[in-house]
Formats: sequence, C-alpha cells, structure tokens
Amino acid sequence: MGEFSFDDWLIHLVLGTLIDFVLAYRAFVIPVGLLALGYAVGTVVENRHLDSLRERERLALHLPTATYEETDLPAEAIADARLVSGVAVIAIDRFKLVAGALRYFFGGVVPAHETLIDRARREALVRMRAAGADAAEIVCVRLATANIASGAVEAIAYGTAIYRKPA
Amino acid sequence: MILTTLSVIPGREIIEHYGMVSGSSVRSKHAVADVLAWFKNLFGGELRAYSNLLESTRQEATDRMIAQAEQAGASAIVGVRFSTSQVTSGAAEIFAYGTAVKFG
Repeated sequence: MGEFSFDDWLIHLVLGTLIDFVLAYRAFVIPVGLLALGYAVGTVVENRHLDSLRERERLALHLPTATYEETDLPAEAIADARLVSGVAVIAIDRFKLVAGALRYFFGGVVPAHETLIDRARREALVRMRAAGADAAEIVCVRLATANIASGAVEAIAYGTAIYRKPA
Repeated sequence: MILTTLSVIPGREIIEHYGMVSGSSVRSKHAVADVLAWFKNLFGGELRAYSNLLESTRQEATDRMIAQAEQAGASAIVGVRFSTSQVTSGAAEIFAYGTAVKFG
C-alpha cells in the first residue's frame, strides 16, 4: 500500500462527489446530458450538411431543373428522355425532437423541423440532379415525402431528364 | 421501356394508349437499422440504411409498374408519379403509377 497524499484525497473527494451527484440525479442528468450533446453535435452535423448542400447545388447550377410539364428543345434535338430520382432520409436529433414536442404543446411554427424537411428535400434534389448530370435539362420535377422510420424525414425527388443529341 | 413524368414522350410520338398502370411495394424498418437510427437520433444526420431502403422500395414499385405495362404491350409509361402512405407504424408503402403508351 502506497502513501495516501493530500492531493489524492482531494481528487477522490471531488470525483466521488461528482459521481454521487450524477448517480443521485441520474434521472435528470442523463436526459439533460443527452439533450445538450444532441444539440451540440446536431448543430455541427447540420451546418456541415448545409455547407455540403450549398457547394453541390452550386456545382449543379448548369443543369436547368423545372417543374413545368414541357421541354423547350425541338423534338429532333432530343436523343433520350429518362426518369431520374433521388432519395434522402434525415434523422431528427434528440434536441429537435424535444424542442418540437414543446412547440406542439403551444402550437405555431416549428423552425427545428422546418430545417430538417428542407435538408431532406434539397438532398433528394441534389441526388436527382447527380443522377441526370449529363442531361440538357430536368423537367416536370415532383417531390414526395415518405415515413418508414419514425423520427426521420424522408424525401423523394423525381423528374424527367432530357438528353440532347450530340451536334 | 421509357419512363417520363411528362404527359408526352419528348422527341417521340405516342400512337396508342393502354390506360393506367401501377405498382406498389411495402417495406418495414428492420431491427438492426433501428438500433443505428436510435444513435443517429441523438445527433441527427443522414440515416443511410433507410435511404437505401427507400431507394430499393421505390425501385421495386417502379419495376412492378413496368412489368404491368410490358404485359399490356406498352413501350413507355408517361405521367409517372410516386405516392407514399404509412400502412402501420414501421411499415410504409411506395406506390408508382402512370399511363402505359406505345410510341411510334
């Protein structure tokens, strides 16, 4: 057995008190801790996703994407028309789930969920554009949402990619 | 088989209509993906397992719609739409529908 110094004694006291506190109030500390962790990591993940979306949307700017049901290209210039689609499933982080639940109690706008559905739709659209990257344009684009997983937002984007005949 | 969301086939002429064709596919979530989803739900982010599930469900509904159109002797499907519904909690349906046509 080694000598028991004052410093060790102090560390044990502090750590012991901390562990006692967490254990005594675990019903409160663990959910709040997860909530805080969810908020911190969730914000970083969301900002990184939004940055990546902005970058990929910028790269896809050359590809006209429209919801109208016709193409400006003359029939003789069209080589092919194909259905292209993209899907995305974005999870709701714990903080947003709780923040949303509080909102439902009072009613009104739920900004936490607005950004989620926005991210899911934009991701699906970016993937659809990537699927039709060589096309002249994508027309008659439609969006749909699904719900397989609870606690997640699922978006499907689809449209008709028009390919031009090589000149 | 040409699929388009438009009511025409760009660059081609429709010579015959065969009426509406449809296909559906129901998928349920699975336990392993759900455990991963629980962790993802702490921090948010994309659920890749569910994205793949959604994509394969969409593909299967489309394939069934195409099979129906081929049976009718069609060479294209115009006005394709996808619609989704939740059958029970944990299972979802993707429904693909359109009009089977023949082009000249």
